[in-house]
Amino acid sequence: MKHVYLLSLACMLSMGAYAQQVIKGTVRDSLTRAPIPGATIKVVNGTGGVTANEKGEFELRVPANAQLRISSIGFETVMIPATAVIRPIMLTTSAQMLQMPVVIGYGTRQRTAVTTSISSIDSRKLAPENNIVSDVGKALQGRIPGVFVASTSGAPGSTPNIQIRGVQSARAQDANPLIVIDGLVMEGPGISLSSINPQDIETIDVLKDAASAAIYGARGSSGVIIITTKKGKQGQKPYFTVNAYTGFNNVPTTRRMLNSSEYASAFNDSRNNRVADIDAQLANPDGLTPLQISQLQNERNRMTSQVADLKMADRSTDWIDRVKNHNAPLNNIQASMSGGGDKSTYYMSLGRYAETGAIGTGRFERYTAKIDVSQQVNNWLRLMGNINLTQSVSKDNSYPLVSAFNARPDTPEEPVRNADGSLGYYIGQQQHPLGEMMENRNKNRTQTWFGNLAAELKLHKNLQFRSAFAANKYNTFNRDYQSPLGYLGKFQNGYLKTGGSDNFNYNFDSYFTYTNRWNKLGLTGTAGYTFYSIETNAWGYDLNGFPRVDVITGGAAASAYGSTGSIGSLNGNSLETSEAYFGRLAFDWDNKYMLGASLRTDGSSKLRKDNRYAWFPSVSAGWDVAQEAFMQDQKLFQFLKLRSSYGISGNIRAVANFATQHLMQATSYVGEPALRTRDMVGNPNIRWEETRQFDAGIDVGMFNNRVTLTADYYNKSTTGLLSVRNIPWEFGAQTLPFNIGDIRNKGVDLELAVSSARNARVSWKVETNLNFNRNEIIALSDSVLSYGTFIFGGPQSQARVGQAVGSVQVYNSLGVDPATGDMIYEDRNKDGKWDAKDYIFVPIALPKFTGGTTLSAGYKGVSVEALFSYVVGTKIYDYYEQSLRNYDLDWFGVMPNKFEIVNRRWRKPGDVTDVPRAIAGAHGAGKTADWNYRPSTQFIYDASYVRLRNLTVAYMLPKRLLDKATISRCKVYVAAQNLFTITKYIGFDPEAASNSGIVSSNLPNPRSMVLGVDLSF
Amino acid sequence: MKKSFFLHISACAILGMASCANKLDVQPDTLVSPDQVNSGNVGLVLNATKLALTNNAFYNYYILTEIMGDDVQTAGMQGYELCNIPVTDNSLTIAYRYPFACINNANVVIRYYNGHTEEVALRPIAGEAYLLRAYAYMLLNEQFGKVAIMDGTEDPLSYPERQSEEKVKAEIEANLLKAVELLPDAEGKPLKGNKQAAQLLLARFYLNNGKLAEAGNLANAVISSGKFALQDEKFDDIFKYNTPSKEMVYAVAEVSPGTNNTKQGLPGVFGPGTPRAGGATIWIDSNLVKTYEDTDIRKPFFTRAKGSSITDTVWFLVKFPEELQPSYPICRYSEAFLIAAEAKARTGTVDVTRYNELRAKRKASQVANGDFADAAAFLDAIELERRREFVGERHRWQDMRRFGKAIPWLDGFQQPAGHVIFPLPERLFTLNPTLEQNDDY
Repeated sequence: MKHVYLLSLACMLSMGAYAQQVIKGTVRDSLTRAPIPGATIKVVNGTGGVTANEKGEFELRVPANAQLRISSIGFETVMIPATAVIRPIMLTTSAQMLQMPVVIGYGTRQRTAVTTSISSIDSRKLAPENNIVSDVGKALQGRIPGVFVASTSGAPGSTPNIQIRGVQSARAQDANPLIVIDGLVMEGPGISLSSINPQDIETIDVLKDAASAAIYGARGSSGVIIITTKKGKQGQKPYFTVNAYTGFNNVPTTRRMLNSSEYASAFNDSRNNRVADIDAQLANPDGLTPLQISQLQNERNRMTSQVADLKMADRSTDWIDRVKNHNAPLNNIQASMSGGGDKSTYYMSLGRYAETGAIGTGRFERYTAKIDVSQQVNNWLRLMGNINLTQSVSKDNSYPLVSAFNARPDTPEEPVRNADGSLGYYIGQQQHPLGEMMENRNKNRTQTWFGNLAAELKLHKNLQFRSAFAANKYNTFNRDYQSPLGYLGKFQNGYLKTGGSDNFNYNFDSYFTYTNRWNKLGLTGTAGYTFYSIETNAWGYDLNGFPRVDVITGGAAASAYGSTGSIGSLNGNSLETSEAYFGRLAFDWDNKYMLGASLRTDGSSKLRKDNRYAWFPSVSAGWDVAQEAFMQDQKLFQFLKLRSSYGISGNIRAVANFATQHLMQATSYVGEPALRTRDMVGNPNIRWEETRQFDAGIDVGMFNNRVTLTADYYNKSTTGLLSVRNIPWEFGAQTLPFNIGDIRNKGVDLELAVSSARNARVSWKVETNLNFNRNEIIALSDSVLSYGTFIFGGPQSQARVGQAVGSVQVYNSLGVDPATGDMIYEDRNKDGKWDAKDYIFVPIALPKFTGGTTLSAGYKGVSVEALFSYVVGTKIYDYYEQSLRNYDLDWFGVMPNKFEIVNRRWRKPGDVTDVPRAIAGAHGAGKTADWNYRPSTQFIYDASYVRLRNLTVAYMLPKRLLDKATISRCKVYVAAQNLFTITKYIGFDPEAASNSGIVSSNLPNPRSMVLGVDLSF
Repeated sequence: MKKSFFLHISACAILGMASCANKLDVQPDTLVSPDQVNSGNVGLVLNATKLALTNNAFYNYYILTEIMGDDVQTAGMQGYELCNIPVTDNSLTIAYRYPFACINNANVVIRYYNGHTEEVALRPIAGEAYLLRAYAYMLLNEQFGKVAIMDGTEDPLSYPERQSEEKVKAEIEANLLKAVELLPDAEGKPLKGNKQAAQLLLARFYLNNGKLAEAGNLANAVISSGKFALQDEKFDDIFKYNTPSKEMVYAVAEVSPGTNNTKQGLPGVFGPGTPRAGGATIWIDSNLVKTYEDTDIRKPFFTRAKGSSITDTVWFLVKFPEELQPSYPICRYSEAFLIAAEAKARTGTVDVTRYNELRAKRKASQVANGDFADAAAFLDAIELERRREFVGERHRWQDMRRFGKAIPWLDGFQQPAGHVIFPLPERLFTLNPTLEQNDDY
């Protein structure tokens, strides 16, 4: 064969007998010069066509004057005369993938015909070298306008928080979009993005506007992410590829804590300041009662004795640094095999991803396997199916970040051990940061299998029927063992918490698709039915009383079962079902004018029979201006489309099962059964929440599609926001499910790409996407509703009318009084007291503006890609900063260490600073112990940032080196994730905050550096 | 393609789209409709009434008034210690919510009983529900003064209205009288509601509200019931879960979270810490501890240790046993003796009989009527005996109010008289804008 497939690929023509000739050519990516296997080469207005082999080569017999049309998914289609096939044919990536079919939910559509707002990314953007991350959600970060992704924790295997075009929910946990994998609706506890291998994904389509999401009706209002996994291609030769990388995670940032002398200074200052205050009071004791005087004297004695008792060893350890895992290994390998015959295709893959936490000891390891096959049975029946198996294990999760914050800096390197071998304390009952990682074993295993079986029937040349059963089995098994020798286990002679869940969800979809064209009028119609079921079952028990022997960690060694009080929280079953009928019509006139409409009716088991069903309609229209006759003479625009849409979608996620009924909960009381009124009062009157969204957009391709632009304006308002209303506690309950209010998001999505000319020597491309979003709560039946999780002692996270969701309730700090060194807070109602009436509400959770820019360039075999992501206008409430400003002894009898910011604290009258004095005990205008660290604006930081999220440098080895090794393609790369971040925020990581914008002990996202290789045979 | 073939396939396809609407009726497996409460299972709702009162963490608010008083001291919980509770305090929310949750469950039992009064077997269940409902209102009244009276049929979107203290007290009295009527005599099971418990709580209620004769009669009725006996050794046995001791009249138990956890409950509050329960943060006034005579069987249940976050050694209360299922005394037999003595003394008569009966069993010295100059002096002795007997059992703040000690105590902290009760938790005002805060907060 060697003599046929000559090195340089290009083409040789000739040997043409008369009008026919055989051409040979190669199809390559203009950016990376990599071959494009599977590219389709077709003769225009003729018969015949082939697919390029794994080296991107093809051979075709054509008439001499033939025009060839060369296309491949994700690339601009090229038309060239056959005679021009003398050099490799360079395909440029299509900025908007105009030619690519877009998955629109129960069908696909050519990008040019789409009239709604859908953004897509393809597998090249998801390639491992471009995403050193465990899951596909993180891979979306900075890549799609209007899709905001934040990794709230750097713990291995943790999944990110995703929002599409703002938040239309009163509760942070309901704001995530719907995810559909190959038709499988992933909702509820069965959803875990980390259970799918990102490299098995072919495309991701994000339905952003209501008209596109309306086809998912009741689940679509927060947007839909449709994931299509890789499949083989018909007529494709076997194609085997291996991609592997290895490297390290580490946390480049730190927060410097006080060293021992600074700690002692802060400790003594805080006590001495209090003593001075007391002395001042006692010096002028008029107005003090004898009881108060004696109390003050007692406190003074306590303070002076604490100062006298403080004995610091002469050493300092940077405990943040000590709990870091500086070179935490990170590995990924994925091998896949795909191909297809005339009537069948297959794809299979195996993958392993392993990551170790960059702080503490956690490890995450995931194995994935996938098989996808399809078979054309005969001319009217096609069957296909796939199955994905995933096992992920996260174990030894111990992240002693809080202990590292709190540890007194003179704590010895090694944890203290008691005589019996158990962990002891150096000071008070403070846990040693390293000790916390000892004497415990935990392991959380998740097994997922999901897949589907589908049949496509061609009933008529215009009519197709498809029926698919998609299912997801999601099981977890968790063990948490605390040895009797450890900090947590010792009180109960060790304990083992064992629990797990067995979940199964499926959906069964059937629909007809009718396609026809009458002269200039084209029609595509879809009508179908879907049924969805999600069942969850959880179980668990606690064991205790373990022998104090090092190696024992198994449950059989226990001597007793644990408390009956936890039965209710560890065990439970639930079932949610829903069904929907849907239909969609798409008309076009001469491919110029497009009109679409869809209608869906949804029913849910969560609602009462008479409120159960709701309608979700949508309309959309588009005008492909570039197709007009008057546009044919100009060269500026190759593509110009105007489109607009309006639709209604819903959200049922915020309603708990059985929330419409007034029910009593069966539970237990001291080992006896009990029937208890619920903490939630049932509300039979709740109805569907509706999100109405208007979208207007424009798609432009200019300068031979070297510049492409997509811009969308949207305005979506949600009415009848489903949530719970907080009711007065006199009812013996706390919440009532309720349609509590209205919320609006409006904004602009922009997507701009500029690339070099085709066949340029140095090819380059700049792609930018931006989203501006304004979120506002229009109405709420509850004047103040909690939004995110409440951290005790921190500010309440709120949703408040007239503001964006996710505000914090704080005092307005007016700075530090230079005279006293104490905080001044605004007394808003001027009553001389500082209480809830003086709070202000500061929206922090939602960014004003987010975006990402990808720069890529290629020269010969070298390619570089850099992805910057940026977030502007988001704020962080630093709860840990607040809590560590407390100079009192904590629960463990030790003053926790402080961030170095307190070194610039107020020390003497006249000092002008933003950090109040160190003081323990009552102080400040409110005369309370917590005065200087009350939740206030002093702990709110600007968390805007620009981050180089990914940088990849790849080199494609020259063919001549590879051919000897029968390798068709070999790319080596180095890649770095989170290489640097520009931000004003003083903490670890402006991204790693909870979805309410409050940061507590969130682990920072690591910086990853890897070296990898991508091989194909 | 043949037309019939096309039709067959289409028919099958449409069948595949057949509605599964009946599958949308999903039934819960651990939830039941209130209609399903019947005579056989209404007792389970009574269990839930107790669960709702404690939520397996009764100590969170059981001790709040103790800390306000002079018996118990702490370096933490300064709001309570200094009688100036911040409206944002989290314990306040628990102290408000849990008793109302208890009332809500008791209402279900009582409503059911009211529809089935002919069923004799329901009487003890309904009686205990009345007892618990009365106790919950007593807690609420002591803590917050005026509170709403709920019967469980109100619209949850309405705003409950606080009733005057007179109405709340009338509600307490009515509930206790009903409990006395319905409950059977005690059978040595302190975790079960019994007639004597209702009588004793009612005696306490009358004493606090100046109805001395009624208080004395009820106390004597409990003493003469013959169901209980004072103990002269192993004082801590009284407090054990399901104790064999005959002194506990009524107690409420709970289950501690976690596994094999014996460090919760009241020992976890008052304990001196490792290896015992507790955080060594709450201790007893040493002046009180010093008043125990050496022979007193109650004296050994104080232990001296260094407090956490303080440098002094202080006295910790260790009479509450460390158990998996800690229980909380609601009323004890000895209270009947001290109520009887006090009710009489308040009428101006010094009669040390009941006082001596208790002290004899506690192996404390006996006194004679002549040892006291007047009834007021005897009342001082009774007050001190109550402190020694009930320290840590949530009596002291109410006693201080009755003995006229609460206001001077507040004066000592320069706190206004309104601080004799708690403020309403701040959160309530967003839930119910019609509420008004208690005076002086």
